[in-house]
Amino acid sequence: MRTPAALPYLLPPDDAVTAEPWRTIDGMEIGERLEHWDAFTDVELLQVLTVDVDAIREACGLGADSALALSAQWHSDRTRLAAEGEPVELGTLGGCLRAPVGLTVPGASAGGRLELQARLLLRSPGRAPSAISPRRPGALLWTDRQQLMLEGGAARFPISAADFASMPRFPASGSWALEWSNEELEAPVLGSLRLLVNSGDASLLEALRSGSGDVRAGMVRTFVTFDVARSLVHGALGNERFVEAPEAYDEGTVGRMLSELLGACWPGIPMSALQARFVEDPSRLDVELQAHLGLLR
Amino acid sequence: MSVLVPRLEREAAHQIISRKRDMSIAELSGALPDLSPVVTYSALGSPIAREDLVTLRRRVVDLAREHGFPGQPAGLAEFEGSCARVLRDAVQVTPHEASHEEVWSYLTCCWLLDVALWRFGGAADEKRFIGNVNRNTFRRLWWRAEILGPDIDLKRLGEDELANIMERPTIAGDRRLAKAIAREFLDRVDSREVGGRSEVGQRMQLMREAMKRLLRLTPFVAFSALTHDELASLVAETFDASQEPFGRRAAVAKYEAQAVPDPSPVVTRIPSLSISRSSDESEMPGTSDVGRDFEAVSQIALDVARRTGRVTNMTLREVVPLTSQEARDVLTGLVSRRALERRGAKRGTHYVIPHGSETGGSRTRPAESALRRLLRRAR
Repeated sequence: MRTPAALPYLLPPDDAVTAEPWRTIDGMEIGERLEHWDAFTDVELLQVLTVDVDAIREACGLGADSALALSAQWHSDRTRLAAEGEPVELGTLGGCLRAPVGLTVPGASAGGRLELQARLLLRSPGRAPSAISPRRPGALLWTDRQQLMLEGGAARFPISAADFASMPRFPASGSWALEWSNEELEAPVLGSLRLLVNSGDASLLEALRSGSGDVRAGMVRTFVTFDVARSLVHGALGNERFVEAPEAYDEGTVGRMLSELLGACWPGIPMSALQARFVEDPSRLDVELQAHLGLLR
Repeated sequence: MSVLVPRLEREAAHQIISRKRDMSIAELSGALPDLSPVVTYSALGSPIAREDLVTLRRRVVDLAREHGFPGQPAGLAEFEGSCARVLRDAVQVTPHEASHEEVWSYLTCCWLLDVALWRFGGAADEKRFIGNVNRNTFRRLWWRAEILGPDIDLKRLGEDELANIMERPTIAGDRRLAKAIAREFLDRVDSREVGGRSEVGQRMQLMREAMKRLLRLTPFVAFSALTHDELASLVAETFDASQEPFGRRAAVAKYEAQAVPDPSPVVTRIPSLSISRSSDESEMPGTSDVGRDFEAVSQIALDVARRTGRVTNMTLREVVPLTSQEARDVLTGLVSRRALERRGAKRGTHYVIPHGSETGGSRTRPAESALRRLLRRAR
């Protein structure tokens, strides 16, 4: 077990600072995992702290002219990067103070497990600190740590932005295209299947970004989801080899993903029966898929 | 959307390395790039263009040729310093993407394996070719350029000096601190305080000693919360202390009262009451109300404990506007009267009603009225 560092100066009692839970800027309390995070999502977080600065000065042997500050820091164990939020200066105020500390965690620099730290630190020791008071500017007097998982949740569908205007096989005003082959079912999903979204359509790109709660964005996502699922279902049922042995594919392959998709949409129905339905009554299959996906509900 | 580099699984990378590490550099160069392995991509982003990878390979190989490739390597520190810039410039990915082992396994094994083998030799640790965080030939270079930025001349820093900065997550994770250390070190080398460029041992000694001292500070100094000047001064002070001759005690730094920043506008004051445990009017004239306040707050604390099963310093302060010291006095007073029992330690400290004590040592239960009185007085 790691021995906690023994700090070479007086510290305040732990309860001299009270930390409320970390929240998103719209007030939602965060848990241990942040849903819908991806490397394009910047996370803005706030934590409200209540500080009994008189008790802190007394316990640390600091005078009324000593200055304190609050700050917050994030650290990602994936990128091993850390950064500080804007410090909140408490100056030489006395009494009991309340203030929020904030952090913006850029998605491009984060990932994995995030450690959020709220800290009370010394800005200035004042003119007459005691011999064993904290003196160094930046000395940590109190720290609160919380872990937040950013990755490891639901798998995301592979999406790339592509300029359709520079791709001769697509019309420049097209919106999206699913690139895959229903003949390469042993290939990994994250290597051989990709939804290309026309980068010339900024509003479409924005709509497909995770987390947007806009009504139009929701409609676009629903429609794209159905279109992609329909292409995959039709492609799967059009491959005889897949229909004969849908369970034969390894974890992470396109074949396994198709098998799980069809199993989730039509539980218990043999693949051969679905193939017959696909040939004889494809619109019924599409409507059943709509019902499963909860389209427009 | 950001650029994605193909990812090569560890097992696939291992197989490529086992198969090719004994080949001659010339033979290997002729077989690159190797586009046969199965690769994957991160879910979101646009795959890097093939032409960009071709350009990357050409630039790295050209640079290696200037340093002896495919023959005996010469001037490796200069090669690595320049190669770091080439990699950072040619592989325009986010730090998130660049922190995946499979990305660097792909670039090394499928595009640059000949240069990696030339640099470290076929007998090198496999981590030089698999995308290991500190050992991969190219990953470590990309991150040096990313963290230290364009203003630090990487060619002037030795491998051991760079490893001292980059392989310590608490230092390298804070770009500003890492740059301040590199800048201070190079300034001292320039001013010949450390001796000439050839005095590798002295340089290494200085960097190692300074890093030891800085690392000792990391548990109790918020480096990233310091101003630019404060950080530069702390790093300079650490290097000063590291240069003190052995056996001579470094001067103890003096911390004078600093210019105090004004409080931030987001800080609000919470109204607080002052209470005292004394109810002896003869000793403290005019404090009889205060004594009653103490009793009233004690009753509130007992009431919170009865209703919720426990009371803590914080929960008491949520109900009554007190300082933490006053709340502690109240709770300690109740423990000494055996009206409460203390449980837990440090931040887990809480107080409960002792078994067999219905009222916590008091028959009165004026919690709500006491609270109302207190709040009226606060106004």
